[in-house]
Amino acid sequence: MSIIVSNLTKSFSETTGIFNIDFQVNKGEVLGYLGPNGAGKTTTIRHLMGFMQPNSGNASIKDFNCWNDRTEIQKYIGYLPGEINFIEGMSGIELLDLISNMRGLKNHSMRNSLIERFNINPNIKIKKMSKGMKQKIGLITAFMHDPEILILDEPSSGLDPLMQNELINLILEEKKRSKTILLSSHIFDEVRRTCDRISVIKDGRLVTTDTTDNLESMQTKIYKVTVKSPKDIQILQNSELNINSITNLTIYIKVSNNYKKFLNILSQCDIVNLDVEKKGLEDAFISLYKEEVE
Amino acid sequence: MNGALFLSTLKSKYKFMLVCSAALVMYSIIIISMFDPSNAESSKVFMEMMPDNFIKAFGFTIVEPGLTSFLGTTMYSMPYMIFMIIFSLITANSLIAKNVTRGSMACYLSTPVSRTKVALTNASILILGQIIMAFLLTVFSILFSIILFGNSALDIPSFIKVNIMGLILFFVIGSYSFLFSCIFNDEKYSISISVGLTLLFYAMNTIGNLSDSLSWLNKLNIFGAFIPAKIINNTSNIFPLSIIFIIGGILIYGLSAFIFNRRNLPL
Repeated sequence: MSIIVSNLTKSFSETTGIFNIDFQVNKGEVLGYLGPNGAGKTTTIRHLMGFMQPNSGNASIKDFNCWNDRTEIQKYIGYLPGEINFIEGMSGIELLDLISNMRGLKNHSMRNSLIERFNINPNIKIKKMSKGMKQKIGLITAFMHDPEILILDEPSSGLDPLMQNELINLILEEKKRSKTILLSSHIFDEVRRTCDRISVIKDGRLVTTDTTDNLESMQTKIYKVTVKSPKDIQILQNSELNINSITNLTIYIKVSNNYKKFLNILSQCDIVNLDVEKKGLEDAFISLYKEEVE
Repeated sequence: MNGALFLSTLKSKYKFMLVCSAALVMYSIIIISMFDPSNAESSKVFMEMMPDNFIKAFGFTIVEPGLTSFLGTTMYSMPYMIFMIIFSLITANSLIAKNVTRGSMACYLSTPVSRTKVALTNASILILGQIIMAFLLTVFSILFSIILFGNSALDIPSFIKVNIMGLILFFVIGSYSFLFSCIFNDEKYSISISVGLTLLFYAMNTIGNLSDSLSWLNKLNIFGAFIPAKIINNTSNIFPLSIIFIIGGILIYGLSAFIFNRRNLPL
């Protein structure tokens, strides 16, 4: 087990903080860590980095306690903060050099390939960089020492769609190389494509941890079906299908897992168009985010 | 100590260090050039231009006419204090608290360099800066006084002693400013408290100099320990106090690193 968070509690007041957080990330696995703003994602990550000491419970990385052995664990971690703040007055390359030297890193092959991959000029002063460029520099500092464990807090924020895609590919490549990755994100596409499992945190408490596939399939989907004639509408209406709404020749049908029946009935109609109204995972999260935590 | 961090921090602070050093040297040169050796009373003339209370308040007491005491009572009562305070407090604040407030401390701490090492490496930059300032001031003042007035005008050993004692004083001021920098998450608090405490000490010293009945205030503030005139006159032995101050400063720096190592950081 590469990352273990057990019963981690840190309260700032009675209601704010994180409470009894439990999850593990295995070698070669990507765990999505999701939740609304202010849910406690970054606080959890601060504990993993050894920046904060828990009130109770603990976090460990490669069997090292994150608070007591915080200097040791940094050797294995690549960290991308959610809000990147670099040291003032440096150029990108100066920062990369400083961090490399502080790490005692001599091999710059990963760094150079990332600079090329992200298509960034690191000689610019960081102060003059756009948010996306800073994000790329941050990503390079997280990946350049080829760490076993990656902790990425909203890694794609500020990146253009092309680069977001590049980042997803990078994460998938690293996963194939048996890296352990904790990914906090708000972008469903990124999560769906990279994460094996997902933990959802809300108001400082874990709401659920499940595989991405399970979360996606649990969700009811709404299919938008456009038919040729009103007769077809009637067939659908008279079936056992769960009709959400009807506008002219378009009918919205809720489907959970009764796909066989759904397809059987559809086959009796003349279908002009068939579409999924909403993406499943996105819906799953929105309902989880909204749910009251007992 | 971490070499890479040391060089990087030095690179970001050396300009400020040189600006403050230049200000000190310029001030000293101006004051030296105001000295008139043919008129032994020249320092008195300078004093007479000022109101009585002003002279007392800032400790411009005349001990004996001569370039050394002239410098000691003018340069080291105010301009020296101001620039050393500015450098020490701003630098101490920027070395830790500013990085924590702005989040850039995360860059340092996400490398396998311990917090203690980060704190002590950065602290060494503050101490080095103070040493460089004191060194440049001493060297340029001596050079300039030799150029203007020859070899014998300035009592060089006494002048060096004044500068060493001043440096030790600011070693302590730097240490408590650094301590506040290590304690607070918000640089606003860190800088406010170190400025507040230092100004309080300075005000106590100023008031303590005003009248003999208030001179007990001088025993309670750190500036009261630094009286250039007494060092020049050889009426105070700086050795025991220097040792106490150096040990005190080292302990405060140690405490700073200890606290920084133990506390939660919002990074």
